[in-house]
Amino acid sequence: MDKGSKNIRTVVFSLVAVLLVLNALIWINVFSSTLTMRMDFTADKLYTLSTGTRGILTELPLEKNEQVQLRYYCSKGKVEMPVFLKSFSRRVDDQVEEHEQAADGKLEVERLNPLPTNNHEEKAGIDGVEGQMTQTGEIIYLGIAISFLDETLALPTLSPATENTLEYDLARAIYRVTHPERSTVGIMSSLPVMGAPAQNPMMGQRGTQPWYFVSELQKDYNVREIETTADVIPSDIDTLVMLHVKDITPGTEYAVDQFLMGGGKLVAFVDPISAVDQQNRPQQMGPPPESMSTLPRLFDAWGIAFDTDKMLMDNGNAAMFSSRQGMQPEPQPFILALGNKWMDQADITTNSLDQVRIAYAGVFEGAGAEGIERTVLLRSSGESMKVDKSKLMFGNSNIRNDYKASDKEHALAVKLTGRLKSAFPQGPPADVDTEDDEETDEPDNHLAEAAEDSAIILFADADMMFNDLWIRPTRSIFGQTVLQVTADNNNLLQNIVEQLSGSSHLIAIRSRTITSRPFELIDEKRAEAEKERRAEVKKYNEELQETDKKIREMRSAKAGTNQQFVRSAEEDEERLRLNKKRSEAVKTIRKLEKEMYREVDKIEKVVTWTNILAMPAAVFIVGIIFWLFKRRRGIL
Amino acid sequence: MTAIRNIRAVTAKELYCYFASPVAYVFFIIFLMLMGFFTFMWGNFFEQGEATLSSFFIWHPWLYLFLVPAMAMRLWSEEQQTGTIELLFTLPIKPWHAIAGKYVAGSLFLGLALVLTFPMVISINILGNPDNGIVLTGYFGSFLTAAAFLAIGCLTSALTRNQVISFVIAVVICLLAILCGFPPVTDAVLDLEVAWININTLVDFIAGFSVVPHFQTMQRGVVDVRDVLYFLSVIVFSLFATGIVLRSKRSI
Repeated sequence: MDKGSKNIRTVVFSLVAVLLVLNALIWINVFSSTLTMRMDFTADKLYTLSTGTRGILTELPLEKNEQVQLRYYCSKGKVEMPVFLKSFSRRVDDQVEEHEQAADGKLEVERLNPLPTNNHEEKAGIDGVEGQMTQTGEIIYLGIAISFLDETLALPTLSPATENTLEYDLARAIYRVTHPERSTVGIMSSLPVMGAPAQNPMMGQRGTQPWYFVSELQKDYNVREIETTADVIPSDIDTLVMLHVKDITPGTEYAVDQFLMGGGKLVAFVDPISAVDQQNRPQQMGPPPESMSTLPRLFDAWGIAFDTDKMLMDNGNAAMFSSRQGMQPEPQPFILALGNKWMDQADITTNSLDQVRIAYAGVFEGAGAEGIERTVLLRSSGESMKVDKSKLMFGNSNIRNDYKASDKEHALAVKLTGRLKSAFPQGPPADVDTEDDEETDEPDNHLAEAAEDSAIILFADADMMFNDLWIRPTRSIFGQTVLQVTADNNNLLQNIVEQLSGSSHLIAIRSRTITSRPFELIDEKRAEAEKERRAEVKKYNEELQETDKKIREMRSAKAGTNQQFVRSAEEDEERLRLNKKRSEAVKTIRKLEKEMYREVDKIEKVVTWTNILAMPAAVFIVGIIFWLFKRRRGIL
Repeated sequence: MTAIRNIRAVTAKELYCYFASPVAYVFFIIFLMLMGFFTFMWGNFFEQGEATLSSFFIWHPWLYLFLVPAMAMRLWSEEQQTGTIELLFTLPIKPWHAIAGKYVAGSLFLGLALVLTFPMVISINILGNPDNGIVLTGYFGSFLTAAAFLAIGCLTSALTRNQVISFVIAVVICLLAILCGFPPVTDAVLDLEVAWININTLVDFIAGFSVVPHFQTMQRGVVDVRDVLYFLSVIVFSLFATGIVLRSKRSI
């Protein structure tokens, strides 16, 4: 064999070997794309399904061979998604995949890529998944439809803004299509929330409408009114809403208690003072009678304290209202507009809301009894204090003078979760009416402990569900009255009722807050520096305004007269003086502002340059030492 | 056992060579300064206001693109040029021992360079309260990226006895590995209109070769088997090919 052919053989052999290995590795990678083994190293386990979701997926009430269908519409390839959606869609991919895995065959996932050339766009239309127009005018899809038997629910457009609730939204949709029956909500209230039919329609009287939140609940649930003196809560009620139940009897409290022991869910609004109720009274002489509500025995058992004599005043969240028509609006420290900042960010029901309005609220105290976890859903700002409600009679200004900031955030709404124990360990209270049951001595139906974890939501204000606080009727251009909702009070209640009337697994799914991790040290230093110099800056700012005003006055005094363009020497001097003063004030403010940021700047500079230079310098020194060491050894 | 002993011997010798010459120190100094400079000057580290290292890791593939081939180019080219390769292969060790030994030395060297960026981790821990799990997986991903590039550099270095050519080819391959998942590249492929193949699958397939998406999942705090497998595949293939190339060259 000559050398040339041997060379060719080696080269060919090498090439074939390399190609074979390349081929094998590519196939390994292609096949491994179905593998979903991953480790989640994030502190908040951002990429792992919560136990609530797993619970829902494993307990799907399906017959054999039945599957829940999940159709995932995501534009890929030809149609380019905007960058922010693209990275988010990867997150959705992951979520869908995680759900598919966790459901263990009960969830059939179909991934569709709607294009003009296939019929997936039509399918998306039928499912209610909507296309979104990108800036380049293309239509892209990112949505999910979930269906089971006849029920279909769509998440029409997914967006990064809802990333933190994505898991909840998916789990909820899966739960809803597999549990299509409507749940029943009971409403118990001393206020006329259910509306009233016309008493005398012949005379042209009109009945009153139910309150807005009630009619909204009626859209999704069977709503039933429960007497405020009820001795038993009907067992078909899933969720009970108690809104300002005045003078509650032990018997009714016992009924609520037993309702909870039996697995019922409760939303209760209690109030030290109900402005709505007092306004509704027929006019009479003297101060209006007090209107308050609480659940004394139940709160005791749950480890919650609620003082009906105290009201919360919160200057940090005071809403702007004019107290009388035609007056300037001024901050009302008893009517609060709570922004998202004051809501629980980890809770699904609150984290997406913008504003909740509250009027004449009380405060919840107490950390919750043993075995009950207490979460604060709404809280006041630190610029707040508790006020004796009797002081309200003397007017706002009086109270304002007494104001001392407590620097403490007060709880306005709390959520209690856990295995509840009855507040009546001895059985029903003595004064329970037992008309239908003679043998009261045998509390054989008494439940001492709940069978499963329950959830109770408490609000320290009842007026917050009154329409006028957050609905403004406006007249549309066609002359109809349109209700314009201006705050999220109703959304909050709807969210809560929806969550409570679902499975307890749904309640367990917390919102995935994409927690921001700010540079705390820098923020702290900045706030400190600002606090130190704010007063000074304010002083100079006022001075500046004053000078500006004077300059304007000088100008306008002469405007219009024939002296407009003539100036005396004194005037010139004065003007010069004012201008000089002005520029000095501006300079000082600039200087102060610069000082404010000097410290922060210093930190940033130190961090930057130590990071860039310290390590290289260290390496350099080590290198020199090594070199010297070696040289000496070489010489020796 | 002899294999491990041999590999360890080659690794030790290589590492000694790095640190006996100014190469290591110059490389470290340049690497660390560039890292700091990119992170703080162009990474909007403070403007972002977040205690994460995302503005640090984002530059890694781009820095490795030049620094790793520069380090790897001498691995085999030098041996071939000076003829020491003949000496190396007359030693009583198998060729793959030498390849693995040199490669391990190179990755240890890169790992050390990466470890020396630890002031960055200390900084964010002083300034805020970062998720150190994400930092850890970020470093892991960064190391795998560097290791993959090193393997590619190893291969190109075996292909030629000219170090400059080795460097240029390695940079081009690494650049492709970075770019092939990028929208400009995928768009170009999408415009091809090939009739006999599903273009979307092809694009996904090509994008799967890119380093960046695999590194990105790790920057989010997730270590996925698929990503690790990708990096290992690149490394195994490159080193295998290095062996084949050296073998065929010797027999010619």
